[in-house]
Amino acid sequence: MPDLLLELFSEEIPARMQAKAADDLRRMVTDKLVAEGLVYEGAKAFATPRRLALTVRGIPARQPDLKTERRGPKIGAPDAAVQGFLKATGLKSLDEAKIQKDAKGDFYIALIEKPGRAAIDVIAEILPVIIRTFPWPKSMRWGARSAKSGSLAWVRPLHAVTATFGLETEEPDVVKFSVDGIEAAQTTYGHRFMRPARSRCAVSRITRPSCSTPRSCSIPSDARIRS
Amino acid sequence: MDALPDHMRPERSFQGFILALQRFWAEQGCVILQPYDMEMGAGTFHPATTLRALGPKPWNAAYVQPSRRPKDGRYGENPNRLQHYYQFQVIMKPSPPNLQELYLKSLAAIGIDAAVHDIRFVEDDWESPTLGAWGLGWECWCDGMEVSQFTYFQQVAGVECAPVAGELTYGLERLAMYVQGVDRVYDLNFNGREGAEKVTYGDVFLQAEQEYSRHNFEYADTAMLFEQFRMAEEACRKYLASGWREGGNQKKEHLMALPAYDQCIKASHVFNLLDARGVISVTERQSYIGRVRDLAKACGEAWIHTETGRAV
Repeated sequence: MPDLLLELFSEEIPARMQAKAADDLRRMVTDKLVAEGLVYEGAKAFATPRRLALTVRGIPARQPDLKTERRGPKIGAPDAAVQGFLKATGLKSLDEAKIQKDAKGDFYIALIEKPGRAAIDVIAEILPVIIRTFPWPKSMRWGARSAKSGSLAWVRPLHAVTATFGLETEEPDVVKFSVDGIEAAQTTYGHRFMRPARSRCAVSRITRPSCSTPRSCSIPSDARIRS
Repeated sequence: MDALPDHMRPERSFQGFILALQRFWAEQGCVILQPYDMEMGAGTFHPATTLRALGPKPWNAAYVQPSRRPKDGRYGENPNRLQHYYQFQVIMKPSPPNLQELYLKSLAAIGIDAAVHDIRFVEDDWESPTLGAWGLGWECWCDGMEVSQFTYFQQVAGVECAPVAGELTYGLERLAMYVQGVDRVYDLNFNGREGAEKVTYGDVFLQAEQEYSRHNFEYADTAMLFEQFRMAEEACRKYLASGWREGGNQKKEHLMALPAYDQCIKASHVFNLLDARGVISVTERQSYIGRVRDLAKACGEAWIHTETGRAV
């Protein structure tokens, strides 16, 4: 099953806030995944002065299909109630409804099937909301966008978002979303002084420094401090 | 840098150090201003920062500001503490995305290589109760010593910054001492010359530190200062009240924000002197700070109704 890699790359996060922020990120993303029916195998968050990162392993590629029943009017109910029931459930006629008996009489029941969506699309909706509502103790605005109300607030200026989703053995897909003009992508940046180059995340894993798997993600060394 | 004569190199002379910073920020598109001609506690008080941080129009400036902290005088006997010192101030509005990189490059321009020294950005939330201002950012450490402050202004003079300006403040003496490798501020080489031609920071400022310490702590005329505070406060309010006009399109505009703000600066410095003389009690202190803040806020409000400060 596919893995999610998320990295939020910013200017220096106050030291006292880093560990909790990593925990918050893991909790918020995984809670939301589960709420969307995406039960994962494992998750781990990382923090450094300039990064919050998260890997979630073993996410199903699709949400399960959802089947729900909805109780409608009694048999013989006025036409207005029947029409309202058909409209609300999307049934073409009462022939498509089941009939269920209980103590109060016979009722129409609609079976509604909601097909699961691709996990990557669900994640692309979840992540920008989490970023916009992230519980920093104090957050700030910056740059030209701060001229307008509703601009993103973050603990310090946020510069890049890396978000990929895919199997460990394959080239992952970028989770496509943007927050306040920052497009999620597959590129991250090195340590400010030690390794300032840009690099590309080939798979959705953060690896330990000792790991030399050829396809390991090239997140630079400061991402590993808390691994 | 190689073309510079030795005596102008930032690691050899205090003046060369200042010039190197000015040149660097000029190259980034900043207007290089001269110090404001009034006594103030920090470069942030300069209207080029306080007032220009407000309003939507872009503004990039850098300048040296002599900063007076009457309480910090030590009669010239402390190797680090001064009642008059220099801040180098940079303001960029809106804050550019690479402001941190520019700051690090500016350190390189004065001889501090980030690959060799341990540079850190350490949490520091800035607040000025007298200016009604706050921002988030860092104190910048070089090998464990605070050498600059880096702030993204969120609010100044009670007005929300939109867009946000980035502000850098370098403690010039401290940085220059580090770069020159001296332990006592008065030993700084000021002009980069050696032997008989050498002028030190002490040659320029030691006597002033001694005299002003005496003045600030012992002799400053408190009756006059109380009166000056009252007069500055009154004048500020008077200029603010007289400056409002009905502009075109029924918009209110203000025509005297700058002269009014000068009186706010004046009141703030006079308060600092009174504070150093020890004639203001703890409870009075809060009230004086509040009175200066009220002036600053009223000036900010006026400024955003001027030609330069208003929204288009």
